[in-house]
Amino acid sequence: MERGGIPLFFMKLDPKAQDLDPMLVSGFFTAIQSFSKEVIEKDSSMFQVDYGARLFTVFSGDSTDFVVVSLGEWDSEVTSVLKSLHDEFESVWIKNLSMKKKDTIKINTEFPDFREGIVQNLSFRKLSGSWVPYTSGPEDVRFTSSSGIITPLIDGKRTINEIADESDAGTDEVLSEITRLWALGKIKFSSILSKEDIVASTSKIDRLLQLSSPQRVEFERKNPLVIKMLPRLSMLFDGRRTVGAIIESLSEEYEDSQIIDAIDTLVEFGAIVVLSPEKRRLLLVKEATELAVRVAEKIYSPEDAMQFLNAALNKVNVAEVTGVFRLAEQSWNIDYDTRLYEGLDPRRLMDLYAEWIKLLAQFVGALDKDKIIKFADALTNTYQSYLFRRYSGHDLRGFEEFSFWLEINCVRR
Amino acid sequence: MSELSRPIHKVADILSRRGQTIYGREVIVDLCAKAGVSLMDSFAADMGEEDSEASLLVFVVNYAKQNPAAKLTVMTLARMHNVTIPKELLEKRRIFADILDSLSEFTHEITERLRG
Repeated sequence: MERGGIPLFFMKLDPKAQDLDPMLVSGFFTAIQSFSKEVIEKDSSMFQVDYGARLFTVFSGDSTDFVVVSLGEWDSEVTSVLKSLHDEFESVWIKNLSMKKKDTIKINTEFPDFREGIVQNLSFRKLSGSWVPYTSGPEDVRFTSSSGIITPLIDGKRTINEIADESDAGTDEVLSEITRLWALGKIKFSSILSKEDIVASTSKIDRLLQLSSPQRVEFERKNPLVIKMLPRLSMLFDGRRTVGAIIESLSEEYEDSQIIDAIDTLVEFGAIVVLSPEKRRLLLVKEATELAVRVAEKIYSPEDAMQFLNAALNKVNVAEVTGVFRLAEQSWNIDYDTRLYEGLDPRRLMDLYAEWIKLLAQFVGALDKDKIIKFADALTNTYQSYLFRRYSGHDLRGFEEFSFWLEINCVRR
Repeated sequence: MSELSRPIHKVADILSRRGQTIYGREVIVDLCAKAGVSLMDSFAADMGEEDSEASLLVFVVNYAKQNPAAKLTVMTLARMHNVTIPKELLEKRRIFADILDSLSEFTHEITERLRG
């Protein structure tokens, strides 16, 4: 991107990263950059900001900044590769571009040769054999000439595995060709969700539920079955259920493949989204909090648990956290609707995660210490039976801080 | 500081450093001695790179046995660093079935992820 936050080039190396919006990334980055410039050495050409769920690595060039967003640990071997790609971008691709040209750049497709270079230089997230590639956008010469062997097999029905089996080319060749076509924006994938993914509806789903809306009429023409399934389905996109759980709960009425197709179609339409890594971690800590209070109700008493919860809520002053608790005389619950997070950038989401961990810590701190070991034992068993089955190691990052805090409370009775 | 290449070593290293602030140095020194691993934060020791996988595992399991919260820490760190949770820590005692029942609709059965 150009200094000042205008994106010039955008490329995703992970087809599943649906929520990554170039405008959001560049705007967000401009914010950290102005802050970071004061803290970090002025001439440092590379720095990293770790927001827990995502790592932002920034390369500062002569006229542009190159932001790499990644998950997990940084592999130091790619640093030099990325640096040279950035150099190439500045010295070759945008060198003689006019201001006017820069303003009209199509950031998702411009510089196809550069994109190919990136694919050759970096290893991609492993494509999963069960994904189904399909063509999108008009075919052009580049597409048909260099990929003649597999193009006819990309029909929107065959999975990557099936294409590899039926093609004369070797599996590696097929995979690299599919990767290349995807990087060039010639194909997209469907069926990329796995059973562990958690999906949530967006405000776009409302249009499909309103009988009078033109979007619904249009959508129904192409996808009559999905519209028929929608009333049942829409209740299940609550930002908590996994795709697997949704399939299970409808399995008596529909075939698994029908449900998966419907979910795919709705993802494509934008009516539902897969929870991002930040939102998964927020969900985890919310569920962990709910479980902690439910367990406390059993170990202490419902009245005591409510008192501990209120004590903790009084110490946290963030509306996005305290506002989701619905407290009534005899009962309480947590609102899990993820629309609360629409429009928030990854940094704010991780701030909220920290606030939730704080709330959970305050709750544990408020407990009577005479039964804390009994509480910790029951809580650990409950987490083991639920949270650890649902979430991956990646989702759990940061959660150990709560666990250490619980240890401290067990020791200092 | 040398790179901690083995996942079990990473987990043991975090536990030994954080554990000292929670339980005091003596407790951790004691756990290390019982497991036969070098104390990992000591500058004299070479970051325990020679400690065997088996003895590091003994240290981690013994750490978990201190109290239920320590067990939760070990299970969390093990998942984060892709270490298989030792079987003896997976025995479940009483759980509240009604709490779990109320949540069962949100997740599907994934037995291979249960790890035992």
